[in-house]
Amino acid sequence: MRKLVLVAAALALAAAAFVGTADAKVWEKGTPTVYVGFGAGGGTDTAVRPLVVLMQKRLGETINVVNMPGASGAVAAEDVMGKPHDGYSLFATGSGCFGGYDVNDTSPNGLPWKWWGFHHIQGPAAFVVNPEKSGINTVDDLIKALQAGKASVGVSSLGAGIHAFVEAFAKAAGVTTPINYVTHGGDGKTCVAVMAGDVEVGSISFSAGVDYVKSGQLKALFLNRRDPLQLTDKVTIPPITSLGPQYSSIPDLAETWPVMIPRDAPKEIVDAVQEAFIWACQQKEMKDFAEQMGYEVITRYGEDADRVLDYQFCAYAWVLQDAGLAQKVNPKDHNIPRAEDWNWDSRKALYGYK
Amino acid sequence: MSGANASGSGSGPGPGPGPGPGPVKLAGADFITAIFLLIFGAAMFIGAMNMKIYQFFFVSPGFFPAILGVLFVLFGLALLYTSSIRGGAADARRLLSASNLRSFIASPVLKKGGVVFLLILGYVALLGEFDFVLLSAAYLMLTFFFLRAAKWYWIIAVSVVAPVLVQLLFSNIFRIPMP
Amino acid sequence: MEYFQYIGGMFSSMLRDPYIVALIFGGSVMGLLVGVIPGLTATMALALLINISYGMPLERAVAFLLAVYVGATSGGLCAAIMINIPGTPAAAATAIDGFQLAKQGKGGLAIGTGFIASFIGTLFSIFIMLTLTPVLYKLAMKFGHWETFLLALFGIMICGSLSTDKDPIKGWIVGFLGFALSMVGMEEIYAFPRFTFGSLQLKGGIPLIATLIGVFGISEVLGVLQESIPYKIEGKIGRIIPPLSVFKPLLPATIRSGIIGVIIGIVPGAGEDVGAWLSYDLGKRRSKEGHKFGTGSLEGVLCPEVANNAVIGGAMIPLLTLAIPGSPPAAMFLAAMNLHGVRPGPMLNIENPEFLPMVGAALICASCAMLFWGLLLAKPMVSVLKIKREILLPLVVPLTVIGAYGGGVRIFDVYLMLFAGVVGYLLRQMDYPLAPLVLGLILGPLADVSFRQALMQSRGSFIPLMQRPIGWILMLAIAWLVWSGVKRAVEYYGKQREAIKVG
Repeated sequence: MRKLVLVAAALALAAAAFVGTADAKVWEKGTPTVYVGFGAGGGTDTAVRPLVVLMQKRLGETINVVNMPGASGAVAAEDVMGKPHDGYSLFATGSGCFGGYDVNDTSPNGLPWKWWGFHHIQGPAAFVVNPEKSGINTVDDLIKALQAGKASVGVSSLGAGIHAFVEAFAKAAGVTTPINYVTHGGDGKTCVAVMAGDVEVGSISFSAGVDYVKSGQLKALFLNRRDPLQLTDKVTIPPITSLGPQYSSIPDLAETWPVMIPRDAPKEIVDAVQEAFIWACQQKEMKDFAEQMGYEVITRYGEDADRVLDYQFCAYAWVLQDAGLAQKVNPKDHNIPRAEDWNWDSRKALYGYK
Repeated sequence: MSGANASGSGSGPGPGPGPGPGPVKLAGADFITAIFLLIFGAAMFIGAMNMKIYQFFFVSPGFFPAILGVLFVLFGLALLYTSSIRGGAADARRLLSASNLRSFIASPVLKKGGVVFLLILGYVALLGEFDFVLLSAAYLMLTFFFLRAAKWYWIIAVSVVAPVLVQLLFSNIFRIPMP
Repeated sequence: MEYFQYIGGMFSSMLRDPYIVALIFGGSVMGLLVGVIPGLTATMALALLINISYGMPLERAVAFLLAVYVGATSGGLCAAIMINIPGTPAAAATAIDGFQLAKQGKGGLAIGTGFIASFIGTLFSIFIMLTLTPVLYKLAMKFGHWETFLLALFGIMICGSLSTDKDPIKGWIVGFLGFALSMVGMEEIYAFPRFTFGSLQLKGGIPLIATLIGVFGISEVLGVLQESIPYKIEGKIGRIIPPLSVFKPLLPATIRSGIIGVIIGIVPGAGEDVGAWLSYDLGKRRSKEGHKFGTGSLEGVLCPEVANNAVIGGAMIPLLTLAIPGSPPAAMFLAAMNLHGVRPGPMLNIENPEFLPMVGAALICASCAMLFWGLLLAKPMVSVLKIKREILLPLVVPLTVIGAYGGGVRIFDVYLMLFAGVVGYLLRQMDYPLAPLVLGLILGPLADVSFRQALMQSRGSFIPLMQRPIGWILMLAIAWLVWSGVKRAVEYYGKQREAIKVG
């Protein structure tokens, strides 16, 4: 019996840690849940959790975070869309996934215009090399090696932002040899593979490699952004646009990890989420988190979010198609324009973003 | 778990006493499994061969399913051989004979196991429809009564208290998502 | 030496904070309970508790989360031993001998040994972590796609010997069946849907946890309750802590299992479950008492339990140095640390020099708390053993439902669990071992993806892959496994034929 009391006491102690405060409730009928479309501890999960935690703090209500991995987030997207659109079920994924939902027909109900999206941070892509193992030290070395077919490019997965970035770079640099990709299932693992010399080049979301670049184990050749990034006193990474005029056409496809809510959810809940979202993005914790992870706080929502996500959606759909990875649908058949033909006004009219 | 043969109807062709371990008795079941494996492996192989080829075959999605298909065919052949030397074909015919099937369906083990399974099936099928605590209590009560697990008042007490405790612990303390 | 004083200082400062002590003991018992419930794993517990730990200062959060981690990794052994349903995939190997011991009335001893083994395994791996991290992290870098593939293949090939005295071919059939199941869904490289028949749910793949509890849990419920008189476990609880004389001869096995656990922990992609299986299989081959494995051997409980806990410290090594988690729960811990502004990786020792000793001290506290609860709760847990199966097993059913649902929050997983239960039941009736199915399901995707990635890297050529030394060691090991397996199969059928001829 004494033992049972001990157990009960320990449980009570633990339970005490959970007691939250609550006054005016946004979600009166229960606890809302954010369904993250990737596994626990992955890149999307890590990026989304701080936002949810801060929103929780602002609203004074618990928001559950649940991982529902499968089919690049499509399983979760379909599931949330299949539930009542009462504002109690939210969805989170990477912005690079939506193109696949359409061309692979994995989530016909989860396409960008069916959601309100809240994008808190973005991470630029980068090319990293290990000069000692690969002999690649400059952008010219890289272009030569790619053209000669002597360099494999490590990526986290095919069909997402960093893959698109490699293709765009190769096109602008005039590389005509098809690129040999090696997937690693994560940007951190790509970095390790580059360090170990298993692949010559890594195209990564820069956040995953920032420490290796700081510590000198990897060299970042350039970033997909418009200004240079001074990392330490010694290390400054040039933006891709500084390499020459031909690179200025490379689309800005920085990945974001939005929290999304069905567009027809009750307005008061959407408004409350939006207000908490804006507040969360202004907090010091968010800035610190972004800084240490190599992200940038963007606070993107409303039409701004619709516009950027739709652009990425179209661009990725075509990257998948061009790489032979579109399994079901040709983007042309779904009236998806290529990045260079994309026009927000006509897209907006077509899908009735409102 | 002594391998209670699914046929439930006594000895196979393996002669009476002796060490006669389970596998001898299972000659017929193994024979049927072997044929199933052959079909399964072949189907898997054909399915794999119809998958899209990227870059080259070794990195394509169909590579491992094709290998597995071949392996299942090989395993099927091995099992076919090992069961045949124990008289598998004859035993399989006996297993599938009308009289054996009749006695199998009538066996008490199948009846009891069948009801236990149907109760679980019903429970799972109704999950989204009813409240978790109520449904669990109903399931437990029916199962306990069917198994004559305890006196009736105990049954009622356990089937009500347990789901409530589970709900409290998992939903309220651990915050685990519940069906 | 200074370094260890530093850890000592960390340790005593943690013990002086009553809040931390409470969190460690509370977290530990929560972890244990999560581990006991079939389907609820350390990864899930951490995922659910991260939000709570966010509000705590770093030191408390680390202590709390690691206590849950260690508790949940150890807790799985209870259900494995008591009801023959492993609470977590990592405890599936423990069920083989643990349940036999329980049936023989030695359940208390099995649980006690299991917790002590878990404790030793954790401490061993912490020691390695604190002393050898700067050397060992290079091992993680040496493990490319090709080595990962070979390791996964090695793991699948041990399926043949997991069938104990049964037909080794049946072990392989079931292992490769698990492998085949893992092929269902959108594959990881090209997102190509395999064997999905157009169903979205199947595109998401066959979830491991739901299958595990179906195959072990539901099939156990069906198999036991169909008997006209289900088995009973009688007798006194007996002793919980085995005498020292039992442990002495087990020392080599303990060290071997600890080393296996740490190495598997370091290797990205392979986690607690793989460590436990490899250690069990090697124990069976290397031990003088190896033939007793599967019939209720204490060593058979010790090997997997030392190893699955030793994975914890091992997994911390690449996590802290390369920011690459060595196992799924370690990935969760990494996410939690990122939330707290700690960024493991090459800059960790410069930016947060106190972090590694903090993790070490917290892990030591956590393993002590785990041992305390484990031994304290062993007796009440053993008394659960005596509850009539007609009451105990139906009570397990709602818990399996929660476990299956919690992993992916979809009802589909619960249906799948039921289906897996029926398959498991049928396989069991036909004398197939069930453990290989789960091993195949865990390792199948790893083997598939890493093999294809290795060939992407070598542009389709096998020649560059033959120049990797670790690869050669693994290939030789696999060749040995295949050879010994085939030899066993031939011997087994030789005996069968003899038996028939004599008859």
